[in-house]
Parts: sequence; C-alpha cells; structure tokens
Amino acid sequence: MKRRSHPDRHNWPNSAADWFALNRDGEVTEESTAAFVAWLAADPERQAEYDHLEQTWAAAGALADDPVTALWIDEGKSALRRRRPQRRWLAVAASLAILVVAVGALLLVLDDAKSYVTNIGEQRLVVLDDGSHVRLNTDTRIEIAFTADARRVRLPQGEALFDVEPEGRSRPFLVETGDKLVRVTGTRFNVKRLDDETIVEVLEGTVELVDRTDLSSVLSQINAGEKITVDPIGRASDIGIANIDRIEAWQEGRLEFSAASLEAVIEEFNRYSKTRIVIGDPELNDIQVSGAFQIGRTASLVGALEEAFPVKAVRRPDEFLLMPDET
Amino acid sequence: MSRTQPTSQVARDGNLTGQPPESKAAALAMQRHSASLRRFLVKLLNSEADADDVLQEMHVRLIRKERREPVDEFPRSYLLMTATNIIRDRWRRQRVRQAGLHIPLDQLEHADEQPTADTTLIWRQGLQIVQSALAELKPADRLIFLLHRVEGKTFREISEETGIPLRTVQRRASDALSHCKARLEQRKWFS
Repeated sequence: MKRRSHPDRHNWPNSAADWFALNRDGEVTEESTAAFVAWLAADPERQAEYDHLEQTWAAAGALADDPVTALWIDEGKSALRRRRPQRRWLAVAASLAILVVAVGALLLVLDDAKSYVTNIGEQRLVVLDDGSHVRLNTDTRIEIAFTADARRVRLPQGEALFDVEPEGRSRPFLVETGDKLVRVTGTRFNVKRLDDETIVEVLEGTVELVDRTDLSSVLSQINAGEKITVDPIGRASDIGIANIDRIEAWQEGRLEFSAASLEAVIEEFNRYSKTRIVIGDPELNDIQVSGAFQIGRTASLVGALEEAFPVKAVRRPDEFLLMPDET
Repeated sequence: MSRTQPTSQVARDGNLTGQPPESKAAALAMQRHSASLRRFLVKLLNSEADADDVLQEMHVRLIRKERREPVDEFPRSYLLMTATNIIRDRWRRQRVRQAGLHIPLDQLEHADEQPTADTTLIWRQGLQIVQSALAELKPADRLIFLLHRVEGKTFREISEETGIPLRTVQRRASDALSHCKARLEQRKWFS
C-alpha cells in the first residue's frame, strides 16, 4: 500500500498531546496507526497520559450544553476582529475576564479548599475561620480557601448570604462565582448564581468589582441597597435596586411575592422542593400572585392556588401538575 | 448478550429483510476490511491469535456503535482507531493487573461510550475544572479549542475561519487540552 499523501509520514509526533491531535484531526492510516502503537508500547506512562487526554476531551464535551461556551466563542471572535477594545465597556469586560483568570488559578492550586453544600430544600449556616458567617440557601455549593494574604470563596451554584468580618486591604475577602469576583470590606451581601448570570445584592457596607492587576482599581462599587448583575464573561450591568425583602424572607424560610407571575412564583418555589410544581398550560403563566409562603410547603401553596384561582392540581409522582379548572 | 455477538452472516445488498438493520454497516465494514486489517494486525502485534481477538472485539464494538446511532459506513480510519483503542484497553488491563490496582469498570470505556448515571457527578466536576482551566487562556486560544471541541471543526477549517496559521491552530488546540488535563490532574480528578 503506497500512500505518499501524508507530508509528515516520517516525522511522527513525540508527545501524547500531539498524537491525540493527529488521531482526532489528521488522516489516520495504517502507517500512522503502526507508528502510534509503537510509540505507546515503548512506555506505559505514555499510555496513561494518553488516557488522561482522552478523558479530558470527554469531560470537555459537556461544554456544548453550557451557556458560558457560546459567550466565550463570541468573545473569542470579537477578540480576533478587533485588536484593541474600542469602547470603554469592552475594556472593562476584558479586565474582568482577566481578573477571573487570576482568581481561578489561585483557587485551583489550593488543594485544601473546604467545600460546603446544601441539598434541595436545605439551608445551612457556616461559620468561617475568620468569624465571617455564610448562610447557604437551597441547592448550593460553596468552596472556601483561606490563606495568610487572602480569603477566597467560590460559589459555583446556588445562593448565599455573606456576613463578613472586616480585615482591611491586607487580607481581602474575595468571592468568585464561576467567572466573576467581588471584593468585600466588611459587609453583608447576597450572591445568587443563575445559569447565565450572577446577581450581587448588598444589604450593608460596600462591595467592589476589582481588577486583578490592581486590586485598588475599582471597576464598580455597589453600596447598601444596590445590586449588580454580571454575566459569565465578566460584563457588568448598571447598578440596580436590591430586593432586600426577598433576601430577608429566605433567611426566615419564607417566600414573598408581590404581583409576581405564576410562572416566576413556581420557578422560585421549585428551587426548594423535590416535589415540583409544573404548569401544564401556558395560559396560566401570567396569573398574578401575591402573598407569603413557607419554603418547601408545596402542598399548601398548591392548595392556596386552587382556592384563589381557577386552577386544579393533578397529583403525580414527584410533581403537581397545574391545569385550568374548566368547571 | 446474544444481541452483541458478532455474526458471521453478511448482509446481502438490497435484501435486508429479516436482517437486524443496526448491523448493516458493521457487517459491510468487516466484509470489506477484515482481511487486510488482519494482515496489518498480525504484523503489528506479531501474533495471529491476538490479531483475531482484536478483530472479533472490533466487530462487537462496531455493532454496539451502530446500535447507538445510525451509521452509513465505517471509514477505514475509524476501524484503525477502534483497533488502537482495543489494543490500549488490553494494555491498560495488563497495567492494572501488574500494579495490583483496582479501577472501576466505567473507566475502561472509551470516549465514544456514554457515561453512566452514577458517573454524572464526576463528569460535572470535570466540566467545572475544565471551565476554570479554559478561563485561564487567552480568548483567541480558547476560541480555537472550543471551535474544535464543541463545533467539531477541523484545524484546517479553524485556520481558514480565523486567519491563524494551521500550525499555530494545531499547537494552541493541543496546548489547551494539555492545560485542562494538567488542571484535572492537579485536582486529582483522574482516580
């Protein structure tokens, strides 16, 4: 079998990563297969390394379903299009993205990071080594890494209310949520991680969005009663008004709604309960609901809805299906 | 397990009634390539018995693959990769036996196998570590990796789309994957 089409046929890769790339992207031939098998056979460590690359590749496959990926692709394409950011907000976005990088890297090397989780319907108070308090809401995961020069916290999932002991600039309290970071200087604030954004709401004191290259350069300052929303690549919204009532209510195990759509109420309620409520007819989505409900008391919410609105609930395993009541 | 047994009966073109549809491409591939693959494998492994084992296992995997998703035709390069994977699996079992280690079965499966429900959490953690690792890259380098991994583009297509030289695209994609792997190793994700 004479194949001369491969230009590098005598210049095979000499690393597991290059072999992996060739096997995925190059033309796999009998010649390349023979060379690859011979290369692997020479050293079991090469085989193990190749296995790891393959599993890394497999793990990265789930990127396709993650909203961050599309944003990263857009970001990469615009980075290629324009050499320099042309507008100020782009510059801010870029520096935030860089900042995230630094924090991600710092956290990664701390193998002794402690993590705390809550399950659906569970809340939990954690007292940190420095005396700060963190209350975790339902279905939340938090990772804590304290060192001599910084206190770092990561919130990959869920919602938490922080009550931070001030220690000044010498040992800043840094919260990273996926890609974002806030620096805190002794304050009370709530971080809620959603699929495609993170909301930071400040109850007391001040929180700052900072640049990693210069922790004293403040990109945004959020004061008591204010909130900011940051997307996965670090672009921040304008300052808005914090929903303090909602935050205080969840601390007390209540959910409060004021003329909220039924769809929004159900979505919020479902965060706390394994028994889900499902709206069976989109016609019901916009029903306006007001009131206070106990977290996790799904059956009593369903009862109240049936009483107040023309809906009936069908009980099914693990869920209530809400349908319009025709009678 | 009778459904996964390799069949020596080869489907006849144009008359597939009664033939399980899922084994058509697998059967055709074995019919078309097994003689030359056997010669290749005998030379590669220096053993007729080992070559036959690999071929038989390959037939099983092709049938399994075709049952999971429709396949028009298995290209020869796919058969060669499958052979390589089978050889690697055999070596891995040897390594494990020699080291007296135990590794869970699901780790013996290759990337084209779906992770089971039990391993979902591990894969989700893996994804998070990979995301943190990718966040450490420059946006353009990250883009190259994502176009390759997520959008399935070849290095040549990426080079044409981005105007980055082909060699650079290959190097960056390879480096990005190695970087993710290093972070996963650091976090002891590979057990």
